[in-house]
Amino acid sequence: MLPEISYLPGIYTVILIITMGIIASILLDRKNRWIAVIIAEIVVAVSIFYLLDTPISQTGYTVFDEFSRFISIIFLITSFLIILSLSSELTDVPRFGLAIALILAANIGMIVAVSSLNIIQIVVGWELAGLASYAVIAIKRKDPIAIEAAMKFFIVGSIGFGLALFGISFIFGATGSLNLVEISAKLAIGSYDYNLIFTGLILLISGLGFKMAIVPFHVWIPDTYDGAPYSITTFLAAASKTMAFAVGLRLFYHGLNPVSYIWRPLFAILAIITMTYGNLAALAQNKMKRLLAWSSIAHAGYIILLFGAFGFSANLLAGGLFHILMHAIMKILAFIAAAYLAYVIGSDLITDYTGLGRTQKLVSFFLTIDLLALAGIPPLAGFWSKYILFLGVVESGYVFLALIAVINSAISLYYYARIIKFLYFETVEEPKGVGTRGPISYLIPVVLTGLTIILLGINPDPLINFLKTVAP
Amino acid sequence: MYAEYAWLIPAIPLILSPVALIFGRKLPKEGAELGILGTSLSFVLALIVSTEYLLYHYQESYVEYPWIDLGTFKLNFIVMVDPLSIVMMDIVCLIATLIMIYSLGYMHGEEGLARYFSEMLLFAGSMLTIVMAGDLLLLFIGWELVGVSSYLLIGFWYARPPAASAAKKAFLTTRMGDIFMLAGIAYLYSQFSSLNIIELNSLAPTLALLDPRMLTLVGIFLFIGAMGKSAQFPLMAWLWDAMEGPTTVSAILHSSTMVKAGVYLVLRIYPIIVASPTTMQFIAYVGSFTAFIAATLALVEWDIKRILAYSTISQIGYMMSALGVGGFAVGYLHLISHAFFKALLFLCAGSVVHVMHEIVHDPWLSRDMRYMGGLFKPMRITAWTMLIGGLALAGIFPLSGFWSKDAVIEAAFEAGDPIVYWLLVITAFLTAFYIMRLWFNTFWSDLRAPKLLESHGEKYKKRIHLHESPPVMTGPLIVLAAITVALGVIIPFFEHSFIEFLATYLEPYHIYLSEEGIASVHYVPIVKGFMIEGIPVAIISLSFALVGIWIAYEGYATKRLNTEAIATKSLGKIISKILESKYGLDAFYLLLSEKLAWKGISRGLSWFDRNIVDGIVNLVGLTGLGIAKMSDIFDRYGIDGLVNAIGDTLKWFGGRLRRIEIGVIEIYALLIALGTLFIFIYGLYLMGYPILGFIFG
Amino acid sequence: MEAFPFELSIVLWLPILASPIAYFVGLASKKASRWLAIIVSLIDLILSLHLALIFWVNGYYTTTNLYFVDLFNWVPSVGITYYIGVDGFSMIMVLLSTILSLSAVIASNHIHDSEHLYYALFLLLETSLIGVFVSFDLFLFYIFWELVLVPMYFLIAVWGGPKRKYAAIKFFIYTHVGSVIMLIAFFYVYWNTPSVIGMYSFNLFNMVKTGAQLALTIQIYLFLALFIGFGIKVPIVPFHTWLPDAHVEAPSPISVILAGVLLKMGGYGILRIALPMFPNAAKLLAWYLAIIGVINIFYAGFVAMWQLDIKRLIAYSSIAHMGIVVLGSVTGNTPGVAGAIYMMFAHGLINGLLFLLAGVYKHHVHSRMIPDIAGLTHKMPLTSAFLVIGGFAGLGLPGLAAFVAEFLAILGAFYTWGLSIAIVVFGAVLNAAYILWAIQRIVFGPQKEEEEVKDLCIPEIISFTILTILIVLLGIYPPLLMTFIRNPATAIAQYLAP
Repeated sequence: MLPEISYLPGIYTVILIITMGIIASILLDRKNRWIAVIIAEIVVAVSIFYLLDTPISQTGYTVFDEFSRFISIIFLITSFLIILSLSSELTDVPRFGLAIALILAANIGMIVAVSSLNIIQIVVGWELAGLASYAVIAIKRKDPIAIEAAMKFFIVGSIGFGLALFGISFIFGATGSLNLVEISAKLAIGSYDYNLIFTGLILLISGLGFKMAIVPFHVWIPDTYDGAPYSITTFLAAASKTMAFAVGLRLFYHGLNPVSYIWRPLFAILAIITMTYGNLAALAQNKMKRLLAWSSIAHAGYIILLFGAFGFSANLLAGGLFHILMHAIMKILAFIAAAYLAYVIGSDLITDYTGLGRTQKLVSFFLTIDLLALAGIPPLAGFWSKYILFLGVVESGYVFLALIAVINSAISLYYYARIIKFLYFETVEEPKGVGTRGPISYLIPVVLTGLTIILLGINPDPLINFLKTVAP
Repeated sequence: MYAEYAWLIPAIPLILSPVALIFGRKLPKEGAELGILGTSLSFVLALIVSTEYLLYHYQESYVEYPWIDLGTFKLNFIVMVDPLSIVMMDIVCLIATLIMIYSLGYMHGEEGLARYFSEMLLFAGSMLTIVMAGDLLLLFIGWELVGVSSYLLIGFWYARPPAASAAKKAFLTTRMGDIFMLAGIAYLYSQFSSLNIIELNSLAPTLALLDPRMLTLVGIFLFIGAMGKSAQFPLMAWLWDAMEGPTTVSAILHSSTMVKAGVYLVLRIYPIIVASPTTMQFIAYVGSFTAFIAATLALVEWDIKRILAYSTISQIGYMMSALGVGGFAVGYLHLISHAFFKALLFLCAGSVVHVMHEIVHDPWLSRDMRYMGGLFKPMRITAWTMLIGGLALAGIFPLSGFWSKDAVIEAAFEAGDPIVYWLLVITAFLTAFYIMRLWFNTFWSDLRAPKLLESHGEKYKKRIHLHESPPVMTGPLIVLAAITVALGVIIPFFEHSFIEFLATYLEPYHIYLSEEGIASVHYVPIVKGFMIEGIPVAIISLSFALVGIWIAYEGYATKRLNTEAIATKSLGKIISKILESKYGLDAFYLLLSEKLAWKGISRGLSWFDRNIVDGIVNLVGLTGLGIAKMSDIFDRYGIDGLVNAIGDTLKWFGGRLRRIEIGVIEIYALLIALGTLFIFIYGLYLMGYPILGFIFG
Repeated sequence: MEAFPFELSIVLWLPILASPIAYFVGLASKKASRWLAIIVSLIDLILSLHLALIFWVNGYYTTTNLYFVDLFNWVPSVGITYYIGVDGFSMIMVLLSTILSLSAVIASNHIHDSEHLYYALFLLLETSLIGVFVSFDLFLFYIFWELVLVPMYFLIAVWGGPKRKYAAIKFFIYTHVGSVIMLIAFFYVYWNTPSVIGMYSFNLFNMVKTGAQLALTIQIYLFLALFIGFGIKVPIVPFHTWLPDAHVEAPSPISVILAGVLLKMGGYGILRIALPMFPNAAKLLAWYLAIIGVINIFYAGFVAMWQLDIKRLIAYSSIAHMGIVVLGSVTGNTPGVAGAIYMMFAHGLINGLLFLLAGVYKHHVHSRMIPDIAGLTHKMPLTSAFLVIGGFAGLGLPGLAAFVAEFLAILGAFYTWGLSIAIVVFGAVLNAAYILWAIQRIVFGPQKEEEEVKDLCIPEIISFTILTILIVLLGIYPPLLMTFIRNPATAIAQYLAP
């Protein structure tokens, strides 16, 4: 029995466990891919349970609080689910273990990024996650589209990262600190160089904006999401973006909140542009992946209301976190279901989904649930998150913002409903996918996330109450 | 005690009506049994109730039945047994029963008899509802039901387009009046929170002092309802078209139901009417004017049933004028006598038409007097009874019509309004003329049908057997003729007690009837002295009528007077043209309904609805779709296109350079620069530079 | 007599629970899903009749309380509860929904395409309709309100006529926009509940309390938002153009639900939510709202006169009738409000019958255009008879249900505004004109001999007869319904009473 290492935050243990997982999956890859999968899954599961069980702690810059626990668990759950689907998707990739290893590595980076109060540490974690993601997109080396997607993502990510780093340097210059607590204290006094802070802020926002998929920094999203393998896209949409939001919350809520008068209106405008543009563009999409990419952009618009409506509302943060979680879950379901259907019918076009409601009942059902949740139809979980988020926006006093968000939400229903219409209500002489069944490893994530959406929809109260205690 | 069951009088026919509709076809006489049973049961009950009423010292009975109960707001049905209702219900039941029996013969062999009897029962039942109603709501319900059953009956031969259009016209025209009545009722309710006729009547004098304008308005509104049902000018055009229904229907409609409902309504709310002199004057003028107009229309008509229709309108005009000049009992008396002789006339006309139809085989020609003539010999009963009816209508001594019509004219004289008086007197002359014109044309000289049919090139069966109608039809004729004669005998003796009897209805409202049956209300202005005193009024009107008969005799029996020549000469031609076009009333209604309402407003609004209202909606929808398309296009061709364009250029320049990546990086860098620029502008704004203030507000 | 525990919840949820079963059963056997839908609708009708009977026998109508209440916390942190119950008003609306649902499901015998999906959606629709009328938590209300759109959209879009897609989308967008506008008002009040109640609450009564305490200007804006939101459903001119298209394109049973129940949601919302929540604003605006009602009557009446498609004609007559509902609702006195409520029920039955008849013509004669279906009276005597009865009921003939409503509404209007509202009675003539003219063209006139058409079949006769009997019964004996309406109407009227 080892003595309790209470001086280390649980986070380090988790990093250790995951690192072992990385090594194992790389080594075991040659023997049998399934062993790699199982070990990776065990590692992720253990990490989840470990994190759930770990008390809150802080050591130096590293902090493990409810916020990082919540966000890290989102990463890990996402990883858990997509490792499963990845195992079926990348059957023709020789270095499968590497893919898993990269995902696990990205997890380490993301967990580090959200568990720190030091900007440098955050940035390091961010970049680790980023690098791992670039690589994993390109894991299918024979696939030019994937390579292209990876390339785009890499370049954009690097630019964004560079901008953010640049911005941080300005902030450091203005405040002489890289610790968020100290920065906040310095800013609160008011003795700072406005120009430096301002320049730093805009660069930081631009850099983060790339990751968060805010218009006008979104341009890479449809291409990358479309080009990457489904599971990786899922990972990007669910985990990577979540990290960006979490980092943003840390930075803006914790360190930079005294200068919220600068960034709040900016985010408000960006939120309006992002959600409106995303929704309108999604209306015209005919490719499932692209549609989901645009929907992802639109949802980013909703989520950055967290910054755009920054105020004293308890519901705002709770709703925002809830929506971050729900967005991750809903996107996992959507992308993996799309992967399943693409596997069955060999097409990603929504028009080809015609009649699948009758041949692929289970997946179609959960996909429908998910699309309704994405559109914010009560009483699904996607509704509650949106609802509490918007309630928070109103509570903070930005009714107009909430109004635009609601109208956007209403618009979004049309393109989601269109998919449902093709699934169930379009008649076709020869329905596709008769008798074909997709791999079970796609089904498991779909069912699990689908049930989560339903159950959280029926009883969201405990989670909401919990989220009210979570602060970055 | 039987009065408690008075509600059964209207209820029996009303209940039997759907029964006849559903089960009538199974019965041997296709529902006639139920029809006769229903009306005769009601008649017996009505007799019992009225006898009881007379025996037990005029014990009035008001039984309330709760209908709508909304807490503080209540609407009750009241069934009333009082002087007005007991007379009317007996008449309605009696005539309805006779006509039901007559229908056995007249409608024999028609298709849809069950429907016919069911609708007749509904007709009788709804009229009885009006009669028995003690509150305006129940009265209005009966009122509307009368409208709908007349609609159904007029359109009984539904396959004939004229019947259908006549039915619709009847319903809509009367409904035009009804809505005024509805407005009046609703207004009364809003003022008094009651629809109880007795309460409203007794409140009227108070109101006349407080708010005379409103009282006048209510009175006129209710009277317009009566105008619609009683076919008074200008809501009269439906009645002559209504001749498209079976003759029996016309008989019941003209004698005791529908058209009498209007008069009955005015009688019912007489205290309200009387309280406003303006209303009285309005009624008197409308009545007398209608009487005159309708009588003139009859002069040039050849359709035997239509003449009777005009005469009905005209006679109702008499009743209305009587009521308008205060002749309460007089108007009622004329209503009663008219009920019998008009039913008689119509049934006679039906009998004639019935026979004529076997000759000409056409529903319209069989009613055309130009084809008749010489029917006296084969149809003695019909001819004699019709003569009695006609003379009664003409107001010839000593038939019932003489007494009642004379009383009306006398009342107008007493009231002292010269316009009303002279209009009525002239109308008496016209009436005598046109009814005898009808009689002579029908029964005198020889049958004209064969010649006319041959001249039109149609085949005519020579060996036609002209015969009298079957006893089931002539029976009711004899009964009605007997009643007409008997009334003529009875009226002079019982007139006074009848007036006294009716006075009991008005006395509670402090309105008293004079010996002549004229309500003594000081609101009515009386201007005496425009007539030479001393000449009895009756002699004047009677002599006018006799002159009318004489002219008809000369013109149509002896043919010494060339009527055709008069009608085609200069002035006569113009007049007869005007009369034949019915003063343009039909054209006016057509203009109003079809041209204005339908082709004008309705079409215009439909166009507006489809093109403007819906157009805006579609435009908005298209705009939304357009925005979506545009943003997609912008994204796909704007940004991507730019990307590809740059990429293509580079490819062209750079040979082996991979196109998209390079292009993407270029364009991404561009976008980043743009985004950053945007934020810088924002920053400048924040720092106080007045840049793009309209965006950041 | 007592209700079973959760009986109202059972009435509410039974159809939606049966919906997936109908879908899967229908995959195996088409008949089975139809029978399941019929049986479930029948059970629902019986249960709701049972509730109504208990309501009546126990004299619940003497109060304005809610009965058969099921109240659970759902999301207490944002004040959302599962709160269902009925008062007299809701009770009859539930009855109307279940009656018409059963009629419509029986009359769906002409649907042969994807029956399983059809009946599954239908049952979903039934639950959502009932839900609107029993929810006393506005959040729940809103869920059901929106849920109605989904099955309705697909029922029109899949089984409708040639222009079904356009109609369905139009219906959806229109009503959805209305809902969003309505939601904004709800939300504003909800946002203010903490300052009055002390916590967030979607409970109708709490929201009513809050709404009445808002500033008058805000009340007016919110009231207008609600009025437009509900008014689009009613529909009020000029937000009505979705209705003719939706009615015409929808399959006839769905038109029945559309006209019979869906439109009533608007009236229900106005009476139950808009007026009580913002009484001061409503009082100020009452006269203008009355004018809107009158405009509805005349505008729709005139447009109806020009229509050749019988369904379009009935659709416009619906709009005209709903004008009376709007007029009665804002009179602020018991007869007016009771008339409006009575009209909602009566109109549901009458237009239900008329749309079913339109469906009969469509399937037996293969056309709904008046010139095509004219002159078949002797071939289809029963159809014609029902059409005449339905038409007369529609024009407000005494002895049939709509008369009571029309009379009370007009009485109420006169009570409040006197002769200045007198023009409304001309609507009655207009109403009679287009209905009679339609009847004249269809039923009367020269008969066509050549065509071979069948008259009604037995299930249709049964279903039509039941509706007709109800129409007649409610026309002769209003206490049947008035008993339920009396107290709610009085209570609602009090909000507007001067």
